This record gives sequence, C-alpha cells and structure tokens, in this order.
Amino acid sequence: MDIHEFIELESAKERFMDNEELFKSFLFEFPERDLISQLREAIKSGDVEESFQVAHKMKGIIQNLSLNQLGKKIEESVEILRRGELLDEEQMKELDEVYDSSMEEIRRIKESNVQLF
Amino acid sequence: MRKKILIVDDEAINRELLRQIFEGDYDIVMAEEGRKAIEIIDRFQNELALILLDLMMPVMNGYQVLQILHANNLIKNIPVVLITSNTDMKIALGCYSLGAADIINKPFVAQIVRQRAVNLIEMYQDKIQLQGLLQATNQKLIEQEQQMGQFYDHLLDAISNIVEFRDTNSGMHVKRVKGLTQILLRTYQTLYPQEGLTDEVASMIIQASALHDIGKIAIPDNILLKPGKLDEDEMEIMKSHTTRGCEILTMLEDVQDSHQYKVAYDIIRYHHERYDGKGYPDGLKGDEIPFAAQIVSLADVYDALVSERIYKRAYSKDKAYNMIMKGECGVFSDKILKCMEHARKVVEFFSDTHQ
Repeated sequence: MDIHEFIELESAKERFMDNEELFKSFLFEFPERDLISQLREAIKSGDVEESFQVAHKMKGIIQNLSLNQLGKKIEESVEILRRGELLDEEQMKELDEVYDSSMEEIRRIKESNVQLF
Repeated sequence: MRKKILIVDDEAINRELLRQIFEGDYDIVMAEEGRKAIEIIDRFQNELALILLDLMMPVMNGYQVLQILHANNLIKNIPVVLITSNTDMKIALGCYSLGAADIINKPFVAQIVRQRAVNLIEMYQDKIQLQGLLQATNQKLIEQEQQMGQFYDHLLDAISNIVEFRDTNSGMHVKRVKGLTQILLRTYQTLYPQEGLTDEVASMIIQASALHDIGKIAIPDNILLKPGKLDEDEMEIMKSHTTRGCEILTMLEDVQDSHQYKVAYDIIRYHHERYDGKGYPDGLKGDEIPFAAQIVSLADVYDALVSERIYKRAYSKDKAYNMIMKGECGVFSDKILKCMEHARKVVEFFSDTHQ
C-alpha cells in the first residue's frame, strides 16, 4: 500500500506542527491499545452506548492521526451506532479488514523507521 | 506571569496536540475529565486565559462543565472553546446558550485553533477591561449626580430661607415642614404600600416642600408683617402667594427636570387647598388636589399651629393635633389623617427637637 493512501501526511504534519516524534509515538501506540477488541466485546454484548463510546474514541484518534481509509470506515460505524443500531456481522467484518491492514501498515512503518514528515 | 490555558480532554493525543499549539506562549494545565477541570478552574480562575474543552468524557462531560461555569458566572470572564467531533446542532446550540465562546471541530487544524484562541483571549481581556472602565465611569456619574442633588437641595433651601426670614426671622419653619413632610410620607409608604409611592417621588416631594411659601416674597411688608387680622382685600393679596409662587417657579423651569418641576408647582399652588373644596386658589376638591400638596399642606398647618406667629400665639401639641383631626384647621383626606394619627408621637418629638 502506498503510504499516502494510508496516511494523509500533509494534514498530519500540520496538526502535529512538524513534530514527527510526537506523531510517531501516538501512531505506534494506537495498535497496542487494541480498542478494536473493546469495540468487538461491546457489540457482542449488545451494549450500543458502550459501543458508541469506544467507536467514537477510535474515530477521534484515527482522524487525528490522519489515517484516511480507516477514518472513513470508523466514521460509518460511529454513525450506525449513533442511530442506536449495532454493527451486523458483515459491517464488523469490513471494519476488521481495514483495521487489520492499517495496523499492518503501522507495524511496517515502525520496523522500517521511515521518515514521514 | 504567563497566563494559563486549561486543556480538558480524555484522549492524550488531543491534549498533547493542543499543548503543542500553546505551550510556547502560555502555561498549560490539563485535565482528563470534567471534575478535575472544575477543581483546576476553582484554583486558577484568575490566571486562566482560555479553556479548551472536550465534550465527550467519562465521569463529568464537557456539557456539565459548561453548566457549572454558567451557573457560577465564570463563563462571562473566561472564554471556553469546545473541541468536539460531535456535530449535533442541538448540542452545539445548547453549548452556545450556556455561554461557550466558540466550537471547533475535530480533527482540527493547529494554526486555525491558535488564531481563534488568540482572538478570543484578546476579546475577553478587552471586554473585562471595558467593563471595569464602564463601572468606574458609572460610579463617578452617580457621585456627581448625588453632589448635584445635594447642591440643588441646598439651593432650594436657601431660596426658601430668604423668603422666610422676612416674617419669622428664622429658617426653621422651612426645615420643620420638610421634616414633617418626610415623616408623613414614610408613614404613608408604610400604611399604603399598594399606592406605590416610590422613594424617588417621596424625595422630590420632600425637597420641593421647602418651596411652598416662595410666593411670599411678592407680598408687601404691610400685609405680610401685619400683627392683627387682615381685611378682605389684604387677605386676597396674602392668598396670592400661591399663584405668585408659581410665577417665580417658572424661573427655575430650566434647572429642574419636568417631574421635579411639576411636584414643586403642585405644592406651591395647591398647599392651601382643602379636601372639602373650600380652599384656595382654585377650590380643588378631594383628590383633585395633587397628593404632594395634600401632604405638605398638613405639615404646614401643623407647624403653623404649634408655632408662634406675629398674628397668633402657639397652640399646644395636643390642641393642634385635635384641631387637625376634627377639621377645625384645614380639611384633609382620611388617608392622610391616618398618617398623622399613626405618626403622632414621631411628629411631636420632631417638632420639639427642631424649634
């Protein structure tokens, strides 16, 4: 995956005020927080409110990190939850796929130690 | 000392991004939820230049923080900017109506956040400074108005005294009529609160009561200072002090506001009218007689009765009181007689101590 499809670097650079170190620290921390598991749990237990809270939190972080593709996907999920509905299996699967490939991308960046800004 | 900016957000990434924007120019304090934010605000309220507030937070959310700041009026002096990804219009409007200064959507653009924040901080500082200035100016105006009022009061007393010196050789009658008028008015306010006599109007009546006999300046000595009874022609001239007084008053028309002028006019012209319509100069009856004139009339009659005049000796206080209550000297409304009855002891004490 081209990195520019994955991260909108221009806006990330602006938001983090050229502070690449700070950006990377939050970027690399994100997979470790494993918020997707929390979301999955909440959805499984049928708790719409909790699911919304977690998804909303994820959306905030993802958008701040300018992770575009994942951002679009999580926004769809937030809107579904905001309406009071749970994600069905198909929707959850779609989210998982984008999430997993994004986390994979983050790991690659971390390992290659590539300069972003 | 550098001013502080409070950042309230449960997400570290948001706190850090906002901190980066401002830490060059401000001291940064941070809270992860509303209750901690309130603690910090309590502690640093005079040093806070701005609050950046997230809406969705655990424990206490941003909306509740706003409600508290709104309730204790802090929202007027510290600009609060909501940083939110919740684009619900109703919530946004709710925040504005609680006094939020601005709402910025996440994810934000650093330069824009900085610029909007700087503008708001300046605006609020100007606003607070202007308010202080306005208050000081206002205070000055109030003091000046009081000084003017006192000066004016003294001026009226002085004019009245000049007139009075001719026939009583002292200014005490004017002082006593003012004092008695005041006592009767306060009693009236207490007994008849439903009549809505305001302190402001009462003060005008008290002040203007000093002028009641101003027209006597136009009465020649041979009548004003005549020891015996006046004949019919002389009496007519004497009675004209009411109407002549009004002519003199027109000279003060420009210095008085219209309400003050009207009160003074009523007192000067009608303080010899009687409730039964048999007074002068216009023979007004009942409440056709302006209220101010009715009150001052009673004060004037009482003081005339208990004082020695060139044409009469002084009556005792009991005698004077009874004459008034029985309608033997002037005729007054029941309401005003009730005030006299109620305030009798105060009136007598005042009269004793102002001879």
